[in-house]
Amino acid sequence: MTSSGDQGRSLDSGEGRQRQTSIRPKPEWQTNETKGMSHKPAIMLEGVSRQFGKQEVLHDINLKVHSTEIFGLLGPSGAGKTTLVKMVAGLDEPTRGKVYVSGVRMPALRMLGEIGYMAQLDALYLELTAQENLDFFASVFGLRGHQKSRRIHQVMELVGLTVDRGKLVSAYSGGMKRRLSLAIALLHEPGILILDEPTVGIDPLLRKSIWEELQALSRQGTTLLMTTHVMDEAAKCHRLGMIRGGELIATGTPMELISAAGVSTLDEAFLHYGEVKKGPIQGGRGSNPGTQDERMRHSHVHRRHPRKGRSIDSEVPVQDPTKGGNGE
Amino acid sequence: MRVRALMVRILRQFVHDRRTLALMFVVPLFVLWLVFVIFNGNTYHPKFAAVDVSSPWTQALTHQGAVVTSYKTAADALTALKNHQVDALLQLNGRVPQVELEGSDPAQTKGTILTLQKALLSAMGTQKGLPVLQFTYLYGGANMTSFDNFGPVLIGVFAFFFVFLIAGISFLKERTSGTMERLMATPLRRWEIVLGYTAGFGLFAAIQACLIAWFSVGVLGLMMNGRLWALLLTTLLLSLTALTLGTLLSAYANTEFQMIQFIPLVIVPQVFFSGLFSMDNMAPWIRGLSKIMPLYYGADALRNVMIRGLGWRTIYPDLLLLLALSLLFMGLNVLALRKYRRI
Repeated sequence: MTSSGDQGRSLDSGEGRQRQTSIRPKPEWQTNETKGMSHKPAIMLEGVSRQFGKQEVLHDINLKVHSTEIFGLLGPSGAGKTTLVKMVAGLDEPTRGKVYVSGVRMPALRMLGEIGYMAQLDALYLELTAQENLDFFASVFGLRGHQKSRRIHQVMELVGLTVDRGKLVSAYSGGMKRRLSLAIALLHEPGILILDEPTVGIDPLLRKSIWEELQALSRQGTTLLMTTHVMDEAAKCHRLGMIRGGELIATGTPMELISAAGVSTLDEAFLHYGEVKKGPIQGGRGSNPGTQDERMRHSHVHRRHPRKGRSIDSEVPVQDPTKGGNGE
Repeated sequence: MRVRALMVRILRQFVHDRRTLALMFVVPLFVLWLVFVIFNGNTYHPKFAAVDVSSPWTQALTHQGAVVTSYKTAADALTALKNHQVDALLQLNGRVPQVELEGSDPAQTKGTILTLQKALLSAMGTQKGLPVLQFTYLYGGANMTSFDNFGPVLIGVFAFFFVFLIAGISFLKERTSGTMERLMATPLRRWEIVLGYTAGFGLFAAIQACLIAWFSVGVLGLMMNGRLWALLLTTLLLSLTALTLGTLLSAYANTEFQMIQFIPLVIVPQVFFSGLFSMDNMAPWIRGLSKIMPLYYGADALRNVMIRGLGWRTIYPDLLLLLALSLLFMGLNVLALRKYRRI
């Protein structure tokens, strides 16, 4: 999607519109800093625990996702990733602790229009066509008339389903359903996008184009929170949070996590944190401004030492995780 | 606006799902027609085997609609009785008539005895100059069939059953397919979801109510002494109750199969207490159970309208109760959806 600049975010607050226009000139991140956007984290979790019966699925999670960043939650199945994002989406509530989205305590009905949510399970009406599915969700989000048909057209172009929009969803393949789910989450141009395993079952080529779009959205001011267990995808996130057994064991940029673990790949880092499971390593909170591409090019990593809590610059030889990882 | 979006979606789902549409619109008519064919046959004419019976007797019996066959010997007649060729064996033992009944079907037995008694009464009346009883009817009439009697109840039963099942399963599917959770991640309010569903399905329930009413009165010729709007309104309110009850109960089922399990639990007892079977012989405390069943009120109103030709003044308590139950079920459903989102 290249034309997102001129379509106007009718659902957004005035702040959002301002944000979008102010974002045009480079460098983007600096613009945000001056606007003071990063003072208020887009998503904040404070001491969040979630129990189902006696089982504690999440334990004392503290997390801040900054405005316009792509934050990835990385962890094995059953680690509690989905439970966490559901609480951010307002679908679940913590047993203890607090969840804030744009400074509003969740769950809050008025925030739901600002959030785009793509569930792990493709929640689609199989007996309807893709077009009818989009039409329904667009109406639920208050889109109408011209704006509605334009947005539907745009998101279908984006996920490459324009040709198949008249087909019944029951005739769709798994990947097509996944793409349609993503299209629905993007429909109302939410300021905060929550994606639960967004690219499962999507072929590498399309995944690449979807990632380009997600990065473009982030540049235009959207905050993204996603879960994944695919390493090459995790490497593309601005920052990562590693979850194991319901605990957030490390956060930081992919590079920070790799270097702090003293390993050379994200895979190894993932395994490392799983074994060590020490106190959380707080990596560069807003410490590494710059686009993701920039960060990938330099292996110059800014991280905070786990114990001493002071920043050290280190030169760590790492391979570019964006390269050679697309295959899966 | 959002409620309308839900309605439009349900409409489109129906349009794509022809089979469910048929289940809702065609199947009730088919089953009603079946019941009509089975019960609306002409009234039963008992068959008598007569041995040595004088002609005034056989004439009186034939006059009452019975079929009388004469047999030479009692043994022949008994064989006919054993072979189910006749329902009763009649012979005169001197002046005293002796009747032996086949007796394996209580309804036939009763019919046979009744015909016999009527014949006896009229025969004696003409002989001794006794007054012949004159019958008039407050409601119904001499030509009323048993289908006329329980037809109104059947309209209620079918309107209730199919809507309950389809609405319940659709709402359940919304939960099992994950779309309910997806809806909860949108600004849709819980009451909007319940209202949207009620309105969307209510539209189809209304079409179904009209179809059933037209078919049973216009095509099958079911006795209809009241006003059409009263019949339609009652059927619609009953459907609404079924719709809201079905969607509410689907919250307590995890699979379609578990939804089906509600049929013997919720539907069948209601059919028993709806008036299809006479409740006069039941113990009072069991009869009291009917007071908690929506179908009881619907069937009561339908009978009042169709058989007794009564109007709003008689049926409004029933209708208000159905409306109240619907609102109650909707409210409970809004609460039940808290399981997905507290706000």
